[in-house]
Amino acid sequence: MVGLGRGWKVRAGPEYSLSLGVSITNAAKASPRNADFEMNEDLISRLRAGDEAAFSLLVGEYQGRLVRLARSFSRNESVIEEAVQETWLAVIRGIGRFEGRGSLQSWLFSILVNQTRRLASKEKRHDETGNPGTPNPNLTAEPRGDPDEDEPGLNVRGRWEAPPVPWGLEDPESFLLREETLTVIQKALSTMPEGQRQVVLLCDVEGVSPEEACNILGVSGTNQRVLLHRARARIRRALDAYLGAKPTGESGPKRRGG
Amino acid sequence: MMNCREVTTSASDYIERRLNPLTRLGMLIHLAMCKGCRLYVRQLRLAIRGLRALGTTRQPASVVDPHLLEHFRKANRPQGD
Repeated sequence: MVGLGRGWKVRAGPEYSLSLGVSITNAAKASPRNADFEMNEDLISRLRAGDEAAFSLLVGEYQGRLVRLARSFSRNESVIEEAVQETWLAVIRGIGRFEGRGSLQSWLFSILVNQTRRLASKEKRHDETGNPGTPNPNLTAEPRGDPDEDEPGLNVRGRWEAPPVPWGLEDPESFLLREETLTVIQKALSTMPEGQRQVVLLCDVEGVSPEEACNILGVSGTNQRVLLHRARARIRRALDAYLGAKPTGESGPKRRGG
Repeated sequence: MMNCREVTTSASDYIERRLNPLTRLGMLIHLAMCKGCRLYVRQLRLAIRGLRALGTTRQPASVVDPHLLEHFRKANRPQGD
């Protein structure tokens, strides 16, 4: 383990924002997704040139996201912390050789996934024998038809017995941006099977393309599609349960007879 | 003719236009007739938008580990320094 400090203590000064602010602001205007930020070639060339401001911006942008992704592989906080630190060190060592064939974001996530798997399996070997770097079996095994993954409202003939009920949202967009809603989604993410969580975090939360997600996680396209859909279906059910339990209010649902 | 189970399991692929034309047509025909599945697809779209919102509402960290910056400086120091 490399002895990096635990806290993130140095504030990125205003000059950093100024030096890269224009390109990033323009990227953000074009699209709120992160892809524009990380695809910034200017940022990559500044990193290669040893621009500390560019590195601070990159760390500021991705630190929390790397931690979130690492948590989908391990619940051990020291493994997560070390994996993220090792990822940044690998970036420092490897940015000069980064060829830019894939996106910078995918490269970062690939390093993190490999580091977390390696460290998590090393940790596991303290308790049992295992192979280092073994991918999650939930991901490598092809998903099969699982009756538990069926929508609960469907009957044995595959038709709705209890069809979905309207959520009755007056303004779905503002509902989705509410902190309470995001907490419901986060909670559902934390309780779903690992394989589903990893795929949905990459594809929907981080906006990584399906092909890149397959490469990062080492899964087939079929597996990625099945896991992604199951994860999304769980989020839908979590929102449905939340809205069903919520009393009818100003922006609340009008449903299920009350 | 697709049933509701087939429609729900193909809903993500339908939303992302990853279905082959024949399956997509079957899906469209089913959706035209089935209110429950129409609602399911609509709610699944909202769930996806919620997940995307989670990705865009984060607060970038404003502080960076000084040790990490020191590693970056060292790595970029000219040889012989």
